[in-house]
Amino acid sequence: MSDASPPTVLEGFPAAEGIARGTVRRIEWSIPEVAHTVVQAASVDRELGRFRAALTNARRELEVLKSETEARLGPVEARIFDPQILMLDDPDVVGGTERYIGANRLAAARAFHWRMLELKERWSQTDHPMVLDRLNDLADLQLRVLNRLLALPEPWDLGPATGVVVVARDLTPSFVAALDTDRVVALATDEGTRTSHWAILARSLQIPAVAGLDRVSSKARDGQVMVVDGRSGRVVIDPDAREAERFESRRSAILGWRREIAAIAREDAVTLDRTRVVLRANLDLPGEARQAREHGADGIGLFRTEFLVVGRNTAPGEEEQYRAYRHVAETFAGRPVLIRTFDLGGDKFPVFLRAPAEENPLLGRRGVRVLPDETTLFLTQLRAMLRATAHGDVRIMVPLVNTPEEITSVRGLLHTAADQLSREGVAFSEQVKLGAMIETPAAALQARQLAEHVDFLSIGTNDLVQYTLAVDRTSTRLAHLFDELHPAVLGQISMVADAGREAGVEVNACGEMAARPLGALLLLGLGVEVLSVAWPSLLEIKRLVRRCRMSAVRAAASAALKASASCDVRRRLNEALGEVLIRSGT
Amino acid sequence: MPNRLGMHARPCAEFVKLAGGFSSSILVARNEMRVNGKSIMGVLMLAAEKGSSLTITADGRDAEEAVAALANLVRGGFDE
Repeated sequence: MSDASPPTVLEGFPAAEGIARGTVRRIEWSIPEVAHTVVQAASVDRELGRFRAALTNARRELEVLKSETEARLGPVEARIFDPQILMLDDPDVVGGTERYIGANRLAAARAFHWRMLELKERWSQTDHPMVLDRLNDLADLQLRVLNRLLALPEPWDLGPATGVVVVARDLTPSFVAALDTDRVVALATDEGTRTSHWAILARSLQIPAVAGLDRVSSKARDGQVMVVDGRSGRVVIDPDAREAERFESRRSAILGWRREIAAIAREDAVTLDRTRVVLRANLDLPGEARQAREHGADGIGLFRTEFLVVGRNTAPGEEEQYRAYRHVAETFAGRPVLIRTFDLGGDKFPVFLRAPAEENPLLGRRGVRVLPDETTLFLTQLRAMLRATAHGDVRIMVPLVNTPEEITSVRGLLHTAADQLSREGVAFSEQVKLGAMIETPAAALQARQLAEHVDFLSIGTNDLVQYTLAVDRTSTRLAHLFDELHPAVLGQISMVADAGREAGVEVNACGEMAARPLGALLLLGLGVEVLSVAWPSLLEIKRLVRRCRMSAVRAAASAALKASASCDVRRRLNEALGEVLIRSGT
Repeated sequence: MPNRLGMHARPCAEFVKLAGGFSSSILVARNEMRVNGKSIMGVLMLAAEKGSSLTITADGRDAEEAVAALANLVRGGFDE
């Protein structure tokens, strides 16, 4: 495996987890030197034209890279290219370069290079790591534009080899986003940090990476064997027998941990007395769907769609939404995916709606209440959701419902969307399920009436607790009063569960309460047998379910229901289920 | 600046995109530094961390809307 020389061990920053061994391939690149070239006055227009053409070309390439990255990794990763795309329109970049071409008659490449040097110089005066990280984006763009203007070859050729460890002074987001993960097993660099954009992409691609290694690019030679440990930030060149053994044990430890996760994920969420519990995952972003599935989710219990609108200055198009919904539906083929319509308002209003400020936003235009004023926005969303039903068991849920009329109005809009799609000949399922979220005491008390109008009820415990107790859940000073185990909360959950059972519709819960052991057991005991939690909590809740008896959980919940104060609720639950809780290590 | 990671690249990009939709000229200041709010290069240079405060100034027809929308975006923590 190695010659007689001792292995070289280097320490850097862990940039992307995982461990791998491969063959070094050095990538040498730098921003090309550009000679100071002055052109004839008559050539100024031509140079301006070349510069603008290079920008147009760069924009096109970046847009392609962005959409490929979105398809491969997701919308958040794709946005990594936004700063670069914006730089192409930046007055400082474009205006400055054009001035140097026009007034100083510099050749396009020289003018651009000079302008970028100036901007970098200005940035370098702030030695803030956040800014220094972004110098890397700047270099990425500079390389793209200059390569075009100077007609230089791409420096990134990896050749045909496989099992490659890419070693470089630094990398760029463009390079990593386009990596062939069948051939490249790890990355090691002199510069960069965990927050470098290329490192973020490496993590998404699950390629182990270590950055900030002391001159690894000059110490390693092509063809050498290298071990890259992306968790400890350690790199070994020419590993000897001892290092090889160490690598194997690290790798088997990581594999073992992954296998354990996979094993629990594969097991059913069944109690000791054989009651099957359904555990779904909450999603904020479509890109998390894969982790949710790997952690054994039985579907998605709450797919929040606000990522499509918040912080944006235009409404999202149908196509973009359809792609996001379809991605999740296909990831969970055949399992329910409950997508929530835009839950706008409160503290989250997209700027393109320009909502007037309200005295009490949490009691104002929120959730389904926004729908009558924004029918276009919601019609587009319902169309996208309906189209996604052709690719999986997509169900639609409506936030902050108080009355059956609100459900009726959503159903009306849903019919409009369905009519439009049928006329257009677009595929969708006619049997899409529609559900109401139970988040207010009004809805909980009316659960029986609401159940007649929907296919399922979904208890949003966070808001239900907040509105029942009139305690702002974001207030740190009132945190001790935000009490999920308050008897008034229990009573309502029990009512909703009973209403669902009587009407024969599913009742699920998707708030944080379901992710806490005591809360999860209480929900199960009260008759809510479908829980949805953030994916990192899935395994813990599943382990809990597998260690308890449903009969005991039900008895504990009915005892808790008779309690007069939350401390009493807690005591009764702990008395009845203490052993389960302790055995679960919670 | 409420969000944990401060004004890193993605929030900067969102800020500049939003600012670009207004006709008013927009300036953003932090401490002694003042930059063009429509320039990604400028806004990135502010390196605004969590807890830092920004002053947004706009001049033009839609100045008030611009400041309100941009302040709203920053206060909202860029949905992070």
